[in-house]
Amino acid sequence: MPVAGTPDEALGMTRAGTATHPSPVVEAQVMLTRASGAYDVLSLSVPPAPMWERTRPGQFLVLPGDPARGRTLPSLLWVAGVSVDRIHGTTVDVVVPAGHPLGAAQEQRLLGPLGRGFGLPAEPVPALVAGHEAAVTPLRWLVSQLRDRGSRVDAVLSADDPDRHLEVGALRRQAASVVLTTGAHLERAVTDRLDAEPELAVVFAAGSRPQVRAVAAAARRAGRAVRVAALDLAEPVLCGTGICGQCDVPVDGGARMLRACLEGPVVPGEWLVDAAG
Amino acid sequence: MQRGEELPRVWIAPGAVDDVRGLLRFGSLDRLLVPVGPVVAEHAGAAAPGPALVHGPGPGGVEHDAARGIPLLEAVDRLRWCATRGLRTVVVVRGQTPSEPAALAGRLCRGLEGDAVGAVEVDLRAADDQQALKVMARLREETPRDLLLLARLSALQADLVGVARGAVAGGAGAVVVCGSVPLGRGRWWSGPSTGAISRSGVQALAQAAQEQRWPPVPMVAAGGVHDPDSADAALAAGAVAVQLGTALWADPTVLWSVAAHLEGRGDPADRTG
Repeated sequence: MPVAGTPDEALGMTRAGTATHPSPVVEAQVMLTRASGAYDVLSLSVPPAPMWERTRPGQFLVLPGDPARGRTLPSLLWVAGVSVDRIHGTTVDVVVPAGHPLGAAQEQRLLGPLGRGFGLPAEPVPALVAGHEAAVTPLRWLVSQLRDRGSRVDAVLSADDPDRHLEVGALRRQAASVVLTTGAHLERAVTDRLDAEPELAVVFAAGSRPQVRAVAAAARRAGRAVRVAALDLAEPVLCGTGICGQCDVPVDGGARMLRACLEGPVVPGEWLVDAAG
Repeated sequence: MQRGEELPRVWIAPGAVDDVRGLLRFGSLDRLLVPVGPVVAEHAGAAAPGPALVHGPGPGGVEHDAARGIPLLEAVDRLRWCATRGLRTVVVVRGQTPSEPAALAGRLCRGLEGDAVGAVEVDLRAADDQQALKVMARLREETPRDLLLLARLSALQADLVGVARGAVAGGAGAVVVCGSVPLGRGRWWSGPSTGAISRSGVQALAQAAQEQRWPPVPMVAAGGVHDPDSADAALAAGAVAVQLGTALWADPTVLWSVAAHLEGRGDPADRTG
């Protein structure tokens, strides 16, 4: 839905902290669409801004809905990668289901990048990434960043349909090992991997809420640090901006609710395990 | 704000927007009233507080439960959060007895952060005219003199004009005409498809006011407003302001684009007549 002007311009309002928090409204151009199994990988050209250099795996973009055309809710997209180049401009990669309307669009208004992404370890440490289907999107980028910093990375990827494994070939070139399994066996595969590789120090996970909770529990049982994306972008009702409350998850033993899209999505996995226990 | 003062043109629906912290990333809320609530009394066996559970989207709307509300202590926290940022609020109260909403609103208005309360809204969608009168009168007694009180009515209410009359007689300074469709068992249908319903309610009340069947007060159209055009349609029906709810789920920046559009339209009094 086209909206005249940015929110900042509306009513001549001044935003608090404009200097440190630039407007998260982005006009993007779809430059390239590449098929990958059940998904399309899109490259979006966005106006250069310092925020793109700070963007981390685990942050996401909101594709606004269009109520006038019956699309009541927005779509949320993981940021699959950011390339900042002074000559060629800034490019943001996203992954959408094959045939998604964004693939056919030329220009698109987006909100983001939003949320708290995965933090990288200060020192190179062996890491395990575990994810399910399209939620592997931020992990794929994370693997690349971990490798750049000298970390060895192992991966456990699950999908209920082989087509929904996202670019396993590219990941195989970077990860020390890649284990493929189904969604129902993700936790088991993570446990096996942690048992087999005692040097793995940290686990990064993304998937459905029950899956990340199970992976977090497995990592905790194995005595490893774990960071999870507590937001499942495949869920049908999400606003992504912290307004609707549908992504709330109990933390601190159920003492409080965490609004995953606002305070996360990446949180210590222990929080989810404590809540479940 | 006081009764008779010009209403902000754009309001934020309290049930749909559970937490306004996310909105601050997209623009300033300085010139709006930030909703706090619905504030509910804690009863044994009642559902745990929290946002409304959404059962799923459909063409033109979402099916959802009524917002479960927040307890008084949580409301005090949120009021304090707003007060420290200099934001004015509209406290939204609900209750199972006529005196409950008044008691909750009174506690919040008399508290340390009471200055941040710019208005109080009470849900009268399930009330008849006598209940509306009673609830509003109690609310008027418990809240500061001349504080703006709003009555939330349903455009589909059996006796909309009668309930509006009772609410105004009890002290309401404005009414919110809601287009959400009750689906039974505490479920509602809300979204852009309800625009015609809220407009029909506003038109019915505007017509009744012309026929002197109720003492007119400013009306806020809630339901189906999702862009400047739909806001214009609501104002053309007789509303002076609009309330945005699920439209902000689709795109929170609509709040400012609609506000800017309506600010540019000038004084609503200049457009009527």
